[in-house]
Amino acid sequence: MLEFQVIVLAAGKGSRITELTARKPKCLLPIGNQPMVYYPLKIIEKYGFKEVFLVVLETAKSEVEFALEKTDLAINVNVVTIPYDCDWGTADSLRHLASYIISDFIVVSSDLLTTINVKSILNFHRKNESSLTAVYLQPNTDVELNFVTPGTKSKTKIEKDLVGIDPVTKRLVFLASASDYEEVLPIKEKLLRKHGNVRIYTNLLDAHFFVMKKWLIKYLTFDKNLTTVKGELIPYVLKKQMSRDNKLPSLIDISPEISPMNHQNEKKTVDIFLLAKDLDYDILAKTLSSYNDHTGDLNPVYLNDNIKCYSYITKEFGIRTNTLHDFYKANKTVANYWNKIVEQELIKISPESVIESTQFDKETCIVGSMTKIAAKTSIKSTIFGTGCVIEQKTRISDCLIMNNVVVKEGCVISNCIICDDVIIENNCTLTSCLVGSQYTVSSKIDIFLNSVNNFKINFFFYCRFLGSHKNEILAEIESLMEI
Amino acid sequence: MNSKTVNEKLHSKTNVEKENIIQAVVVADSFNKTFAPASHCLALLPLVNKKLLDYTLEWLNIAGVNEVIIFCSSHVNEIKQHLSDKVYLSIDIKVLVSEGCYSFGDVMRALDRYAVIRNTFVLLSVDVIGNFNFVPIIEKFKTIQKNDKEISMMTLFKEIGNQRTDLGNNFIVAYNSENRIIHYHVQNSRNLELPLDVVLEQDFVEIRNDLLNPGLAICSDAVPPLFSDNFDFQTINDFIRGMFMNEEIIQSTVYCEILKGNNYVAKVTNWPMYQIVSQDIVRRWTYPIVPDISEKYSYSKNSIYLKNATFSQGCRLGSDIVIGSDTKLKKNVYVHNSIIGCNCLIGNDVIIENSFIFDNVKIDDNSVIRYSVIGHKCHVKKKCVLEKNCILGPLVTLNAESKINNIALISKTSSSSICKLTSFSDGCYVYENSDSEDEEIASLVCEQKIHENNELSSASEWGSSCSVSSSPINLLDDVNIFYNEVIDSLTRGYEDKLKCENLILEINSSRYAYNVTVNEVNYNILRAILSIQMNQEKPTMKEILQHVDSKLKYFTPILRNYIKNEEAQRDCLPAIEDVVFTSDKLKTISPKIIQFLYDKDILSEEIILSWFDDISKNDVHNVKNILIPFIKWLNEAEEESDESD
Repeated sequence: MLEFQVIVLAAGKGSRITELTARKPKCLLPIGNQPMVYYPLKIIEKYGFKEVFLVVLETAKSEVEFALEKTDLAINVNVVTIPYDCDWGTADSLRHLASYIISDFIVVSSDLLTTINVKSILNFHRKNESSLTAVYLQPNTDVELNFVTPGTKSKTKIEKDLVGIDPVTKRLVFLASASDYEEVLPIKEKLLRKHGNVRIYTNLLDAHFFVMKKWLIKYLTFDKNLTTVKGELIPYVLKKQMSRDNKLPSLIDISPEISPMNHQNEKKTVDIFLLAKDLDYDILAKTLSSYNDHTGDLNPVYLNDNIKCYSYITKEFGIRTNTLHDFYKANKTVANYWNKIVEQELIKISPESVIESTQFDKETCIVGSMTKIAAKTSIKSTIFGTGCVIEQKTRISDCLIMNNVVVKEGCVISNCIICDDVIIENNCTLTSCLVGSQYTVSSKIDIFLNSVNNFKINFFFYCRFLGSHKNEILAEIESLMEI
Repeated sequence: MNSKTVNEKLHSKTNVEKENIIQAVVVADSFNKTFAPASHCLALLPLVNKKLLDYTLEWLNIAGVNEVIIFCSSHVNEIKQHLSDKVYLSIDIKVLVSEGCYSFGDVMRALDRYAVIRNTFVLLSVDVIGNFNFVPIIEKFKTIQKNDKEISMMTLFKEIGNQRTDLGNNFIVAYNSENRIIHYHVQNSRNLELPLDVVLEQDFVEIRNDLLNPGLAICSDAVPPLFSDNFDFQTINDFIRGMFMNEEIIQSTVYCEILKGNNYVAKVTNWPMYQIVSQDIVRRWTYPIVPDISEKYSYSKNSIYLKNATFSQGCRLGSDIVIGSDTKLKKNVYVHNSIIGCNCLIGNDVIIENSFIFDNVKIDDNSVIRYSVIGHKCHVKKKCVLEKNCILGPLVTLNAESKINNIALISKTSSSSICKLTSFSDGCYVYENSDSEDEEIASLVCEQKIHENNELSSASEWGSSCSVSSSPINLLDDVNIFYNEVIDSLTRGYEDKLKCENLILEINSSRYAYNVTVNEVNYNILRAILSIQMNQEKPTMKEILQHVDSKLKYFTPILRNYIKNEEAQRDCLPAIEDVVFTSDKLKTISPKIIQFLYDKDILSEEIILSWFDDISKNDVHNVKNILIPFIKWLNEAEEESDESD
C-alpha cells in the first residue's frame, strides 16, 4: 500500500495578483518559462512519487492539461476539478478528494517554489508519528535581493504569522496572525504549563506544505464548517491538541465497539479523538517502550497526547509566489536554484529561438522557443516567453516578458512585467510597469490610462505625451473589472 | 586571616591590574525571617554541617572570582568572627557594613555609596549554592556588551523542567534570539500578555516557564547607580521589570543566560528548598562542593558521609546521611535521609528520619524525630515524638515524653524581643512569625510561597498555624473599624456615583490607618461590596438580582485593583461564604455572583473549583446543590474556552 498520497492544490484564483491572472489561471503563470505548478510537481516527482492529485478550477482544466503536456513531467497527474463559482477553500478541496485518499497524505500548494528536502520532512513526520506536520521556511538572510516591484507603488503590508513551537520536541503549539491582536499577545497559562518552553517565531514563511494523517481528511468530511487548511483546519487541530481529552486511551479502555460517529444525534457529530486514535498495537508499543521525547517532567512520551502537530523548520530556499512581489522575485531567482529543483541543466536559450542581437547577455537571460530578437538591440537580465518579437533599436533590461509579446522599434523597457499578447508600439519608454495581457501600449498622444491600485480599482485618467510610463499598471479596464 | 590583614592584603595588591579583576558582591542577609527560629543569621545557617557563607565563598574561590565583597547589615561581628579563621587561596575578602538596610535594594544603594565596584561584577546573595565557573559567563557578558552598550545585567536562570512547584520558581520569562529579556512575569495565575510590538521586532521570542531564578546576576557597574536613581526598586525582580517597563526613560537592557547540565545553582529560600538543596549536596549534584572533598568526610555507598562518628551496637543507617565529627550514636539508633551535626549525642533506640539536626544536640533515649529541624544545643529528652514540621530554635530543652507536630519552639535565652511569647513548657516558647506583612515587602529576590501540605517538605506554614493560640483581640477591632469604613466609603460611592479610583484611595488610607493586612483587605472588600443594603424593603428576587449585578459591575475596578493573584482570590472567597451563603435570598443567586466574578476574570476557574471542593466537603450552608449546575457549567466552559481560542 502507498504510504503517502500527494495533493497539489492549484485552484487558487490569484486574488492578490489580479493584474496577472486576468486571462490565465494562477497556477500557469510562468516562472522561468515554466508554469508555476510545474515546480511543486517536479519536486514531488523527484522524490519518487508516481502519482499526484492536482486540484484545479473546472474552468481551467483543459488549459492546465495542455500546459502540463508541454512540460517534461513524467509523474502521473490526476486532474480533479472543483466548481469555479463556489469559492471553495483549501479544506473544501481536500474534502472533495476524500474518496480518493486511502493513506496518509501530503498537501502542497501550487505556488510553492522551493528546494526543500521532502524525504527528510517525511522522515521527521514518521519519526514523531505526527498527526500533522507543517513546513516553515526560515528566511535566508544571506541572499538579499533589492529590486522595485513593477506596477503602482504600494506599501505592501507583510502579514506576519506567529508560529509557536516547543523547541525541544518541535511540537507546533500555537499559530496566529499578528493582525489578530492589537497591543498584547496573550499566551494561555495552560499552554505554558504543558510546554515549559515555547518559542514564538515571527519571521517564518508558511510553505503550505503539510503532511497529514489519513483520519484528518476523514474528519473533514464530517465537519463541514472548516473551509481552509491554514486558517481553520490547523488552528482547530492545534486547539484539540491542547484539549484535556487529548490523551491516549489506556489499553483497558479500548473496546472495538466504539464507533467514532454518534448516531443517536441527528446531526451526526464525530469525535475527533476517536478518529485520531492509534492502532492498539501502537498504544501497546508506547506503553512498553522506555523512549521519551522530552525531559523535565514526569509525563509519558509525547505528553501522552493522541493528536500531535509538528513543525518542520528549514533554512532551504523557498518562495510562495502569491503576491506580485514574490512572483517577480521567483522569476529573478529561479535560475539560481534550477539545478536543485529540477536536477538537470537549465536550457536558458531555446534552440528554436532566433537571436541576432550582439549585445545580448547570455548569462542572465532566458529565452523561450520561437522568439525572435532582432539585431541592434541591447538585452540583459530578462526572461522571454515563446513567440515574442523584439524589433530593432530596443533596450530591454530586468524584465519578465511572457508569450507572444511584440516590442516595436526604439522602445526602452526596464524592470517591467509584460503579460501575454502585448504589443508595445514604437518609441515607448516603460520603467517599472506592469502591462496586462492583450494590451497595446500606444505611442500616440492623449491616451487614457487606468491606474490600478492593487486591489481596489480606481479610475484615474492621465494625459500622456509620448508613450512614457513609470510605475504604472497598463491593462484593459474590462479585464480587471471581471475580478 | 582577620579583617585587618584582609585590608592589608588588599592594599598590597593595588598594583595588580584592576581592570581584569572579577568582583563578587555577596549579600549576607535575606531581609526576612524564614529561618528565624533555627538560625537568626542567614549567612551562618548550617546546611549539611557547613555554614551557607562557607558554601558561597568556597564556590567563588573556584569560580574565577578575585575579590569578594560581603555585604552585611546585621550580625556583623559574628560573620567577621567566622571569617577570621578561614583561608581562601584565590579570593580577597572584604566585609562592608551598612546597618539600616531593609531590603536588597537598600544594599545596592549602599553599595553605590561605597563606590567599590570597578567593573562588571557578580551579584548573589549568601543563600545561593552553586558550583560553576563564572569566567565563561562573564566573557559572554562582555561580548554582548560590545554590541549592546546598554546592557546592565545578565541574570542567570537554571533549567529545572516543567514541574510546577511553589518553591519560588513561579515566574515566566520571555527573551529574544539574543537572550535579551523582553518580558518578566511573576504571578502565574493569569494568562501571559506580551506586548505585540516588541514581539514583532524579534525574529523569535522564547517563553520559558521551566526555569528557576536563583537571584544570581552578572551586573555592569551601572547597576548600583540605577538602584540609587530608582529608590522604589526593592529586589532584582523590581529591577528587571523596571528596565523594560520604563524602556524609554531608563536606557538599559537586561539579558539572561540559561544554565544547563552540570552547572548547579539553587537558592535556599525556604525550608522546602533547604531540604531539596541538602539532598542535592548529599547526592553530589554540587560537585566539587561536597562534604567528602571540602570537609574531609568519608564517603560510602548509599550516600553516607561520616567523620569520626561513633556507633554502638545495632545502629542502622538508611541512605542519604551525613553525620558530623565526634557525634555518638548509642544502641539501636535508626537514621535515614537526615543530616546530623557535630558533637551530638543520640540516645538508645532513637529514630531519625528526614530531619536536620544541628551541632551539639542531645537526643535522649526512645525519641522519634521525623521531618523536623533541631537547632544548636537543643536537648530532646526521653520518649519525645517530633512529627512533621517541628522546628526547634537554639538551646531549646524539650521535656520528656512531649509529643509535638507542626510547631516552632524557641528558648527564652535566644529570643530577645522578637514577639509576644506563648509559653509551651519550662523555658520554651512558641515562635510566632508575627511580622508576615513586613516579610512580604522585604522578601529578597523570589516572592515565595511555602507550599502547603507538601508531603515531602520538612516545613510548611508553621507561622500561620501557630498563630491560632494567641488571640489578637485588638487587631480584630481594627479590622472591624476598617470594614465599617469600607462599607461607608462604598455605600457613599455607590449612591453618589463616585469614581472607583477615588474609592480605592479612601480604602487604602483606611487600610493604613488601621494597619490591616492584605489578606484582610481582600476579604473585607468583597464582603463589604456584597453587604451593601438595598433601599427598598422586601425586594423581589428580580430586584435583588439586579441590585447585586449593578453593584458588582460598578465596583469591578475596585475588585480588580485588590484581587490580583491566586492568594487574594483565596482570601476573598470566604467573604462569599460569610455574606452570600448566610442570607437565604442571596444564596439562591450565589451561582450568578460567582459567575460574574469569573466572567470578569476576578476569580479563576481553578480557584473556584478547589474552593468548591472544600466547601462541599462539609456543606454547612447547604449550598452544594445550588452550586453544582454552575460548577458543571464551569467545567464545560473551560473545555469550550479551550476550543474557542
